[in-house]
Amino acid sequence: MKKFYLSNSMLKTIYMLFLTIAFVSKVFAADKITVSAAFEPKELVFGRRGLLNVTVSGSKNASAPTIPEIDGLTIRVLGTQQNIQVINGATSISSTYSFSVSAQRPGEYSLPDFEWDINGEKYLVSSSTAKLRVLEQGSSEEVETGMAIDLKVNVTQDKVFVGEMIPVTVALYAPTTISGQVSVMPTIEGDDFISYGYREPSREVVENSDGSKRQVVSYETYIMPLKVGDNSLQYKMGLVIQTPQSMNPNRLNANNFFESIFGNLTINGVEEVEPISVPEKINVIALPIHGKPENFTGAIGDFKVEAFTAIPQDAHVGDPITLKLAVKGGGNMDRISAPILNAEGDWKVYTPKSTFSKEDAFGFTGTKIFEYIIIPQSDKITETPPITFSFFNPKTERYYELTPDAVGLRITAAPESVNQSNIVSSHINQNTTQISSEGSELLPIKLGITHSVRTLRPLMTRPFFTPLLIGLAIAIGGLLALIKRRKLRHAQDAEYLKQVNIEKVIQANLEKVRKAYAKGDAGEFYHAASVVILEVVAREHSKSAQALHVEDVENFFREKKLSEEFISFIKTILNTDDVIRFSGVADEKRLSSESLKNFESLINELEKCC
Amino acid sequence: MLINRILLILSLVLLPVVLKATPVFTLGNEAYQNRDFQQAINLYKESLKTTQSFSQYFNLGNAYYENKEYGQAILAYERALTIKPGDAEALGNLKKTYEVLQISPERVGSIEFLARMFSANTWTCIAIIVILIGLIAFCFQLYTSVGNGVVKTIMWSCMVLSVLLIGINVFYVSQARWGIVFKNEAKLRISPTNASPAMTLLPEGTRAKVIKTKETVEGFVLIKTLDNKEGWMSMEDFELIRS
Repeated sequence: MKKFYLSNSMLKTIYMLFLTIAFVSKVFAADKITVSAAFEPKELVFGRRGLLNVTVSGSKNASAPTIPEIDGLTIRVLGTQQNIQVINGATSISSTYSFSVSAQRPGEYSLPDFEWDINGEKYLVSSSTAKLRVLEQGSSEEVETGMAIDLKVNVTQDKVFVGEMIPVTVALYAPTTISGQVSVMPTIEGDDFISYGYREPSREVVENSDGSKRQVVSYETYIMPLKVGDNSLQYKMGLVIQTPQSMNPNRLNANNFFESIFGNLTINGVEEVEPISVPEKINVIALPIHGKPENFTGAIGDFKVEAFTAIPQDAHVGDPITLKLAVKGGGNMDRISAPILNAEGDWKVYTPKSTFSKEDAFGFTGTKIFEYIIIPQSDKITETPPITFSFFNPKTERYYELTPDAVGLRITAAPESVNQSNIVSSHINQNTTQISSEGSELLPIKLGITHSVRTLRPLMTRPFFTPLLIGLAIAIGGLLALIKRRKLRHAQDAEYLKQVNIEKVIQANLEKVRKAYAKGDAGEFYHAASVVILEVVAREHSKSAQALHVEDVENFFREKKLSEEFISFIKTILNTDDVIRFSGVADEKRLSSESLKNFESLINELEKCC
Repeated sequence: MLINRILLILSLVLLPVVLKATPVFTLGNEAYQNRDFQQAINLYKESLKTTQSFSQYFNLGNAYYENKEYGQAILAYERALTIKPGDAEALGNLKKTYEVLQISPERVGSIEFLARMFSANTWTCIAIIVILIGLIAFCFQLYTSVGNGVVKTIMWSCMVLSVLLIGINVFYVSQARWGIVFKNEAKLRISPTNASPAMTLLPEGTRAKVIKTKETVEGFVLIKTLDNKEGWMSMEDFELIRS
């Protein structure tokens, strides 16, 4: 008998197969079936949604339960989740059906007992654990139990000047038992104030009176009132939160509120909340009129002039000088306009520009630099024009004027060469009928109207242009088609083709005659000449050139009333051609300058008569 | 030259209109010389109602400049340059105006540099003439056998030239949608209503292109600036160069 030996790999495969069968049979083996139902959370603030979880353990093929109606509650199916656990070889299976629950009014709700059909058998779902308490919004209970999500605004000043930047703290209070994300940062309701962004929020946990804890997230910002009067400051923000029971309990700590926690949640468990702060009345007052400087440009805060420079300090008349005024401090930096330079007459001043280097996230503190380009118009200038920066300090409630010391300058007359070129330029301009405006930097105006047009719009965009082009294209196309058609018609016309062919032969042989004469080839000369004569006759004769006799040619030209002298010359040509051809000897004596001259005269005569 | 003849014929056609505009234009010049720039502006604008010329727009630009209406000055110089592209004096005054506004003028590309050698209409005429010569050469070599080599060279040269000329004309057509913001701190709005918040403020003299001309709402145009800011602008603050 033959012996079978199992290899190591075959043994391993069989072993793994047994293990798999054992595991699968254990997993799918019938187990004791238990059912339960519970609200999550058990206490809910009115207006938010909760969950009702109905769980079956020991069966994986249960169909969804039919939840009985509960007066005052709206229950909607969310989804199902299966859980298989193997602990010390023992396997447990459970399926949880989740329902979204929202209350129509505050109160206490109980889920009545109901039967659940699982694998053909009915199981009773007990109501003992399924109780839900819905609290009123803002109720003391809500606050005490630490379930409220509040937004609070803290303004340190009760009196604010319009245009003044003031610090504000927006604090979000939320229970430590919920988690979520910020979907909309705090925003101001209405248009009485503008906000200046936020710094990274700070987080802390505070304790309620009942010992429960709430997490607080504080946002610091600056606001600016835009209108005078009693204005309401109200903030609103957007949150996406999750009820605690659906989360991993290990994540429930004070620092996790703004972490992304959706990795272990289903999206159906997410709720959007929009907490709104209680309107805060702020008395916004106008800036005092008394003591307001004429050159006040809207700076409110506390500032000082950091630097005032002029570059270059040695310049010619007409050279640009850059003035820089640096203002440092804290206040409404973005609203400060450039102070006006008192530079009339001797200076030409260009529109200033400014740059701002902020030292905080809100642009409240920093340095603003105003840059002026000024051009001296006189060599009598000794210093920069005076400049005054004014601001209003809301703390002292007074206006201040800061006038930096003028910078000394040495302005000299413009170089002679420049003046000379200006004179030359002016002279040329006069000769070309132009007028220069006195003191103008521009090239002078024109005296006469030149280069007139009816409209500035390009021809191509005018309405008539496209039809005109199309018309032109059609005309060219039509012309081409006509030419083509004519050519095709001629291609089928035998008489036309004969005439064209004869004309070609005549032209080619005339050329041959001239060449043969140049070479002194009498044979070629007379042959080409006789071909020309025969083709001229064939053009109007019924016979072809090859079939014509000397008599035919003679009669033809007699009919055409050609002179006898020419007829005689024609006969000479034809006869000479025959002689040369049949004798095979070309007598060079027969070719003289007279021959070509007579032939050309003959051709001229033939053109007239035929 | 053929182009000169065409221009001469056009000048003769326009002569009566020009003669009509001249007295008002001269009065404008007098007002300008007397440094009454507002009056000069009014008179130049009045003269533009009968005819439009390089000189009128150039002088109007100068008057606006002197009156410190720099956005309008840029618009007038740009219009002068559409009639006489590449004019050194108009370009010089335009550059000066941009300097005053502290705006960097648009960079001139190679196609634009070439295009500015002649006006749009001159380029169109040249294109049509070249295309016609090309077509004639094409027909000639199609139906005859005389001088084939030369004709073919002419035909192909005309075809290559036509492509370039069509490109220049297309450039000018695209230029027809450019305009100038002539009011300082003009509001670029999110939607075409006066109640709409301003997306940004544009300084006077800003060049912008009108987009979606067919969807233009009454009193507003959707524009896009060179730095890709897109929004609605009131027609009271913006005007097309080639309007």
